[in-house]
Amino acid sequence: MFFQKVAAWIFGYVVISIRGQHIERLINMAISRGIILWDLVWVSDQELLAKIRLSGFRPLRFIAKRTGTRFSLVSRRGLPFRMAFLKKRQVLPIGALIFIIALYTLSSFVWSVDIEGEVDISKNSIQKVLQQEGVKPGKYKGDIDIKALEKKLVLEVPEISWAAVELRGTKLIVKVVEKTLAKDKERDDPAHVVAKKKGLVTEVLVLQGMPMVEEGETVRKGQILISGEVYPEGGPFVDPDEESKPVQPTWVSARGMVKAKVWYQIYAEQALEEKGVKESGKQVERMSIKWLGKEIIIRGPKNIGFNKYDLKKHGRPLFQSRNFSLSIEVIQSTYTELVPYADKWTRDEALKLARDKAKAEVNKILPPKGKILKQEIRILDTNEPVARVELVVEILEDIGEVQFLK
Amino acid sequence: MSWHDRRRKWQERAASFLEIPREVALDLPKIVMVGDVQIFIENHKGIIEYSPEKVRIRTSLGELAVLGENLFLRHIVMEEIILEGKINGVLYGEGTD
Repeated sequence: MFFQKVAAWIFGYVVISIRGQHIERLINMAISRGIILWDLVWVSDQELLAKIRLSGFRPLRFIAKRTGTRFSLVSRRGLPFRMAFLKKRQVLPIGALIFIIALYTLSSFVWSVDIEGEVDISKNSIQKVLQQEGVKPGKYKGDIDIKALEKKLVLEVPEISWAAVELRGTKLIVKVVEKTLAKDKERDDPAHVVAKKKGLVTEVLVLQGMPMVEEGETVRKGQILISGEVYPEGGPFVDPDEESKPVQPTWVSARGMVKAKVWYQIYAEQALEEKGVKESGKQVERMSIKWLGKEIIIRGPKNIGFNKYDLKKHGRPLFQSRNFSLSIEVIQSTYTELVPYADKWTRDEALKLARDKAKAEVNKILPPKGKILKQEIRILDTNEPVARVELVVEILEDIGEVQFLK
Repeated sequence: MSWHDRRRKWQERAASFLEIPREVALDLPKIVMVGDVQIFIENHKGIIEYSPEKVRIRTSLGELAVLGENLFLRHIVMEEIILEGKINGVLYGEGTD
């Protein structure tokens, strides 16, 4: 029933008023011809109101003639009649159509290109590849072969090992993973291994080159640990008999590992009383459009509602091509609430906090393969309302650093 | 027992054995009433009389009269009729097959 009503509304129906002697015959003939009638209501003894599909109107007229009844149209209902007003306002559907087409076309172009992932080295080369491929704001989405672009990125940019390109709406997102391979390892030019820190050498492992230091030796920063200058066995003066003619050294790219004990002195402090502002964790985001110096908020509240806040603005032009740019800018503002705080600690608590800070600092300076050998904490006494500690750490780490001669 | 009755009996037996709905097998009208406000008649053969107090419908069993007040046809197609209003009675009267 419901679907029939919906269908009737879509195809249109009319309310008719039937008068005559043989209304029953008219109904019987109508239904046997497949004309759908409903809501047949007597208005008076002689007059019946009925609803009939638009398609049944003409056949009914024929039946009425044969049964000697007369009917007249009372009202027209349904979509076809609702749409009739469009005939008078022909620009309206055109406008609607233009709007839909514009929406569709605009959404089929790339409006922004984002590169995600840890891209320190490869960002420029990724951008270059994207530019070569013509992938930039304004590019038609259908022209972008995502699979091919991913492949090309991995092939053309040696620094990345994986790339994924995703179209999210009108945004093209490039996700990459960089290779962790160090660049130096690929180069095979003459090089020394030098100390990057002051320390006491405990272990020397030479892969290539001449070791210049021994275990137990103290080295200063920048000192050559493994030399890339290699002489044949016996040193620079191989044959003393032959008029002490210096032998030409061969140059290699020195490689190796020099482990040394390195001492660090870390200082940390914690005031007994601390005042300031910190983030409350609440955040409000606002999107606005900047045009002709005016900012129009399109999303987000008008009033931020924070007394103090930290504001981060990130704006980008709405549309930009090489020689054309709309002066409309989309600005995304992030407001982070800041609340004042005042903390008080006893001296013991403050010392503990200072110590934690120092330890956190140790973890920061600790190289990936380093090992903490010894930690010594010293409390610096003061009369000031500040707890101060000094942490001396002994770390065993590789201090070698490849230094190319050229 | 006339030939007609015998045939009918056989039809009925076959229908109940095969679990075919009777209104289908025997071409009987199926009548469903909702309280006294709506009556739903399936498998009708047309209407004979239609007025707010009385609606007579032709079926395979003869005439079916629906008596009531303010009756009106909610829906009418080839196979079914839906009548609404205040229904006081439904009765089978005599008439042709």
